Amino acid sequence: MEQKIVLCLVILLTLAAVGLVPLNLLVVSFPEWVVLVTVLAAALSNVVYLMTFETHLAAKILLPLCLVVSIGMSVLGSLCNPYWNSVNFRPSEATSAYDRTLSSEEAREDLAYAMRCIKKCHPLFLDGTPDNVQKYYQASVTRLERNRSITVNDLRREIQSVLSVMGDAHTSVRGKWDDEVYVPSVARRKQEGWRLMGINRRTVDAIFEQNKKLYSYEVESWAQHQMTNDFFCLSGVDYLGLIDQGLVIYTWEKEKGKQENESYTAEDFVTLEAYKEINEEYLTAQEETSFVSYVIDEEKSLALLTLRECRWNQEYTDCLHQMFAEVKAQGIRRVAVDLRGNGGGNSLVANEFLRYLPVKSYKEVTGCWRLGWLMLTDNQETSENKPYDDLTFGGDVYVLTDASSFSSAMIFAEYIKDNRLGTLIGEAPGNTPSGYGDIAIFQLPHSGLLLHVSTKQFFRADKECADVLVEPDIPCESAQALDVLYGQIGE
Amino acid sequence: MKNSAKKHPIAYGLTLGYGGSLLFILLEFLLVKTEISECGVWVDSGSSPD
Repeated sequence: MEQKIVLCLVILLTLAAVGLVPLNLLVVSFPEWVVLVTVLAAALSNVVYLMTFETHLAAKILLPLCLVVSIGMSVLGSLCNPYWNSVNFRPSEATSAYDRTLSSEEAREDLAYAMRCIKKCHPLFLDGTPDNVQKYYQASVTRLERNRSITVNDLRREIQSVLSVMGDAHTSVRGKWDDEVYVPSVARRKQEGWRLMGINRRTVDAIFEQNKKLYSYEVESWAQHQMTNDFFCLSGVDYLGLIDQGLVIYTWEKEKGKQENESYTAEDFVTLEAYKEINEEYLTAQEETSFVSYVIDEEKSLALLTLRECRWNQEYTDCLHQMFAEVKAQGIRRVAVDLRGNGGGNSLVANEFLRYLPVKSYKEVTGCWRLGWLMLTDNQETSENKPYDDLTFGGDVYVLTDASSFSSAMIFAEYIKDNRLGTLIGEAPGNTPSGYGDIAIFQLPHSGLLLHVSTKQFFRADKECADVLVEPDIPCESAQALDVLYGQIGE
Repeated sequence: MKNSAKKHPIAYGLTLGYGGSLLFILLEFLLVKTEISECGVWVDSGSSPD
């Protein structure tokens, strides 16, 4: 009886060591030492059991066998797993209110936690912390030590001041506020052609120059895009220090010299639901439609695919398949993909699209993936295409991009450009093709801020290309891209 | 083989476990190289929440 109980304990500990990995990824965060202690306990119980009791030959072989497998999987699953303690595969909590006060100790613990996550996951930190990052980190710790109380937004600024040194647009810190409130008039102003000129008597350009270090970016257009989002929500204007004596005054300009001011107190900002209700007539129907949709213009012989997010799922593949089936049936000669405002997702959406083009192989990104103390490299420069032979499209391909086309959307444009498969129209996407990406997301313990950390380093598909960005073949402002496309078609 | 298992069953189990783990990694590697596994495709799954 006693032997059976001990055997059950041995089996339980051996299984627990492996089971802790999915438990961590899917349910709750805990430190790596929990796994190491469990592994040691499993090993110890194995030794004790085998030395104390008379056992069958099968048990003598199977127990050590399972133990070795369990140790290997749990150690790799915790120490070499960039998603350990992340919230990539489970819902995150809401961030504490942006103006909630944290103690100096809590703030420093959050900052230290953020640094630990970055050191473990970011490819740049494989051989230690770069000197400039360490310098900014120490300066930030010193400032936090001096302050007795720090708001969540103060802490966000401090952490971001360290991250922005890295020049990696993917590695950033941000809040998740479900009760965020917004300036109610933005959609109407934009629809009517107003342009934001300044806030609290400071020009947008001056605000940007002073605050760009509060954002992670590789190209300034991406920082401007991020900052513009912050201009119109309460946590954002507080983050940028734009609330002056309880007021935020927006200066709008329509035509040269025609300006209007709008003043808001915190109470005047509205929830997202109220914002949608107020601006119902100004918000485009796009808000309601799926992330992927297409229209076919028979007269122009053009199929226009709008992809607002790079979600690689059945809905996307079905939509693409249906579009190319119609393109073939109707003899459409042009396909355009609108990636403006697409913040990324999964780059497999680009690979899937290429399956409809008549190419046997194509250049793709190479890079390396930080897995704890390991660095997995991928040097395969070309990929064999697996075309849908019955739906291959041999006509003209166009891709529309702007400064807010980011990450996987940028990779989509990069594949088209670097493989000379089509024409890019608009603005250069918001990050560089040779840079970092594929993020793990961590939630900081006290503030609840979300830390995004790159786990991969990418190198551009076309190794010969010296451009820093994926430059459009036909540059134009984002809002003009569709008109330029129709102009290019010339019909 | 059978004899060594009987003589040193624990060492036999440890070796088998170690070998099994290596074989698993090798199999994954082959699946990736032959592009049978989707893990073989180098992807970027980061995105901007804005």
